[in-house]
Amino acid sequence: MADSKSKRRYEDLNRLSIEQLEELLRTAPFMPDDQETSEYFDAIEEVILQRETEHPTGRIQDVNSAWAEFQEHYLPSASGSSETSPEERSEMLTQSFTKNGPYAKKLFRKILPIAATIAVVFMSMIAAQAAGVDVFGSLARWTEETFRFNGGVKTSAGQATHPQVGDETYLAIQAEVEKLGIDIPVVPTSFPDGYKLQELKSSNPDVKSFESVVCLLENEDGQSLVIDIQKYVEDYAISSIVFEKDGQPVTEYLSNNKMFYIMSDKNNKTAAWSDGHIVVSISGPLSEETIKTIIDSIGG
Amino acid sequence: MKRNIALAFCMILMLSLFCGSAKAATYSSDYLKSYNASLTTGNYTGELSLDFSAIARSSMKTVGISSIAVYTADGSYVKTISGSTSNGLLASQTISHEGTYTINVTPGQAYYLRLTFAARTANSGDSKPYTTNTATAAS
Repeated sequence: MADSKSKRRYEDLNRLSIEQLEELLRTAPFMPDDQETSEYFDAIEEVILQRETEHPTGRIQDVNSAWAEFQEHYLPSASGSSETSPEERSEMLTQSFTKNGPYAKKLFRKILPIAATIAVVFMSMIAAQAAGVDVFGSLARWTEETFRFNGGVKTSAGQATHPQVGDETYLAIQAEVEKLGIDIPVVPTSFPDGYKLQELKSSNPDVKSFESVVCLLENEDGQSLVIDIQKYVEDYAISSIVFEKDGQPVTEYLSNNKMFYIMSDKNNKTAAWSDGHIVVSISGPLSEETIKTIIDSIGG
Repeated sequence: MKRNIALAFCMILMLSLFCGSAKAATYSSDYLKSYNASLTTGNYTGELSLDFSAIARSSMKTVGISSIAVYTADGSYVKTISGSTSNGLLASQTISHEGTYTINVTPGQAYYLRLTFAARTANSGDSKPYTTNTATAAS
């Protein structure tokens, strides 16, 4: 009903030439949020498109040609202006858009829903990531209570080189790790001040599905720093490993080609990395900055 | 009018995405850092083999598995095994414990286990439930 009424209202447009219609588009006043104006523009465009379909003149070309034509006709000052400064170009563009207000605003109105849709999709991905689905990496998943790695996803683990570090704690841990046949850097070379190695447990030979090295470091206040490195057999479901965490968001931290997941657990922070076969975790009553420093020290 | 409705809908949708994060409940554990277990077919008839690991946040009086409840694959309860240092499910005065435990059940039947991982100091502690994969007892 509304469409037929609208068609009747603008049927006089059919009597005009394409040039006259284009001139109308260029010169017609534009009222924001004005339904009538919008219908008027739509009617002019519809007539032009209909004419072009019936009698193609090559006026409406491919996207690139159309864009070049648009620049030539509507942004004459902005094109080919290598001698123009960015400030001047910006000003000219602003003037051009002001001059061609109806087009710019119409374009904006068309782009707005697309931009809103993209924003919603992007925000959904971020929300999903925050809720425990590693949308961007698909390497891990977590809830407000626990964190798990997904099985079978391999990441680059760095080169098989070991740093030349004289730190006794590092050397002691590294010696045990080498017994597991791990030839990539996984042991931190830097530890927070005051922490001393208290316990270094090597693997239980009865366990066939994984081997491990677990280290306990303590400071004078009795605070504990735990570093553990586990190597699993090829077909082991690595997603069966559960890390305790609280409801705080998990931080992803990429260091030396290793993506660490830093999670909070009351007063403790735990950083965990896995390539689907080896799992490294560092945990203690540390700040995120300190735990990142420890992570960065892996590999020297 | 339509555009306003669409915009309002978009705004509501975007705001709703943040509603979940308002719930900042705290769970976690002061005692257990991480744990895992894997159930496989045992070496001898009627055996299941359980590999497990429990890592605490500091040195504990006991750490490991405090109990194992055995269930058939269809969910029927079979039996419970209590963890102790003598049967190797718990270790004392240490940061972590890992081991292998053999369970005797009906040969050829599929089972899963409901474990309780625990870490205890002299005064307090914490325990966490854990369900294993399903495995068939050796026949």
